[in-house]
Amino acid sequence: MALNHKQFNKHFEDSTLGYAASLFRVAYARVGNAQDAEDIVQETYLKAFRSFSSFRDGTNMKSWLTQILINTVRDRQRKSAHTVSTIGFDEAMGDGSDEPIFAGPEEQLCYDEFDADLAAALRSMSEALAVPLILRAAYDATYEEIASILDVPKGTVMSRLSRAREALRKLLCSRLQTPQERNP
Amino acid sequence: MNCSEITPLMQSMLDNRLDSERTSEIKKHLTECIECNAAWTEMHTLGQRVNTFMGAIPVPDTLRQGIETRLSDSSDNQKSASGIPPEGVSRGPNPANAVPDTAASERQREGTYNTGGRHLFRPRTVLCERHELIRFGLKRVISEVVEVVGEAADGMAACELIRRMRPDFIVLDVDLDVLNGVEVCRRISQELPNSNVLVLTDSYHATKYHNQLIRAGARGFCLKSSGPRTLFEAIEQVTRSLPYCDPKITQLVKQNASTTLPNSNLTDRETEVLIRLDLRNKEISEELDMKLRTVEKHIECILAKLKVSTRTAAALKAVQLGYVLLPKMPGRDPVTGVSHEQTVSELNAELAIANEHLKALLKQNELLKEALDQKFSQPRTRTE
Repeated sequence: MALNHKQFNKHFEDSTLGYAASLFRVAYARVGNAQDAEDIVQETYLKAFRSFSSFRDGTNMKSWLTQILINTVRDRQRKSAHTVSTIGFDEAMGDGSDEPIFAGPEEQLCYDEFDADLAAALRSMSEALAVPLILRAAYDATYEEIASILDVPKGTVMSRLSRAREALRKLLCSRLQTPQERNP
Repeated sequence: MNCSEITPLMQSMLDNRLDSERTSEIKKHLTECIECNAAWTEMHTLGQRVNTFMGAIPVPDTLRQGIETRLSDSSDNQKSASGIPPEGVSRGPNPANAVPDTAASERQREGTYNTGGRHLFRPRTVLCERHELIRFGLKRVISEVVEVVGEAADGMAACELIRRMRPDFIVLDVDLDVLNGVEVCRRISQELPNSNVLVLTDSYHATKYHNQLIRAGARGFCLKSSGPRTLFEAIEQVTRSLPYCDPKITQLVKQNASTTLPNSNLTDRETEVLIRLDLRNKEISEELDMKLRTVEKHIECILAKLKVSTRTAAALKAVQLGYVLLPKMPGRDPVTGVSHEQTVSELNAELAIANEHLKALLKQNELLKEALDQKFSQPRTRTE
């Protein structure tokens, strides 16, 4: 079906916007920051929109979007490894308005309420281990779906999930221990 | 069932991958073995904890709105970049944007996309390229997005074919026999004013004939050194009757223009002649698309303005003034900078290889001839 620009945009939005919340959760679990996660999701949609004409009908939209999201997270982490985050002098001094630069206490509380240890543990795990686990929990994705998203065999997904659970268990145990207990 | 077998199976059970029979077997084992039961409880609790955590991540209300805003910004940018106006903005009466009043052009103007990744509108295309192998490869590549209805190896054949087929889109090389690409383009534009011509050539011809081709009616320029992605982009633009120029060509054309930097009260046209003083007048006239007499007149003015009496002195003065003279090497490549000697040596090497092949073929031919002669002579001897 041939579509003009308006119809094309509508078709894209109808087919993809339903996955925004799940994608946000996956991004948040990896970056641990709502602002960055939102940026990543927006960037993912932008990339998806640009290459939507190459998307083949009948293939899994959720998998396709998740693939783009994972690549975007990876790119961002790679870039942030080489950059030092700075804040402008004027920005730091404020422009006279009362608007806070950082997230407000209510907003912060909202994100601090849930399992901070688990969030930190998931972020500290390698991408290879964390992503299958996150996808399994976020989408209830099957092994086949995870395999197609990560472009690895099903057996690899199974072993990665197993290793991820073991690694997560160890990380959480070590977080419960005091520093003295960790280094007796 | 022992404990070592159970551990990997617990993993599958957690992911609901086991059938009911197997699950009940494991559950039975878990009731009997305290250690496995503890491991299962821990694994299950952790799974639950991860699920709860993922489900509890609050999604901001602004997420959807942010995505939509960013998409609409991007969509507007794309339209303005491709020349398609946003909704409610009408396109001005620009003759360059004029499109033929046919059903095909209506579809072109709307901008056709499809959800399956292929263009539904496949313009009828004629391919003009002198080298057969390149033509063959090109046809295979562009057939994904266009319908190739004819091919021509030289300029004259191209003109006749286009006149007969009246295609929507033409892919044209400049370096053609009998009539060159510029002349073909000029003739096509006269006969089919709404034709969409994409010039696909090397950087040397593209920069040399850029202005002439634009005047002749070419709509797009693409380099043979570019990849299929750029080519598809060029095809998409040109088939919509929109101009397209490979960024490399734009850069090269600008570079040529920037050689007019030093100021010596010469006009732009005189400067263009000046930097080509190494060439013969006829070559200058061809390259700049002007009459021989005009070139001579420009050179007279240049000599007068630079206060020199000879052409060589003018060239020397030009270098002193900071102009960069264009080298007169035929086949020079402004991008790769391949020298004349190098090109000649490469061509000689290719010629030597071709000669070797020819010799081998001739030898093979003789052997075949001998074999055939022998074969024909044998039955005669038998009958005798």
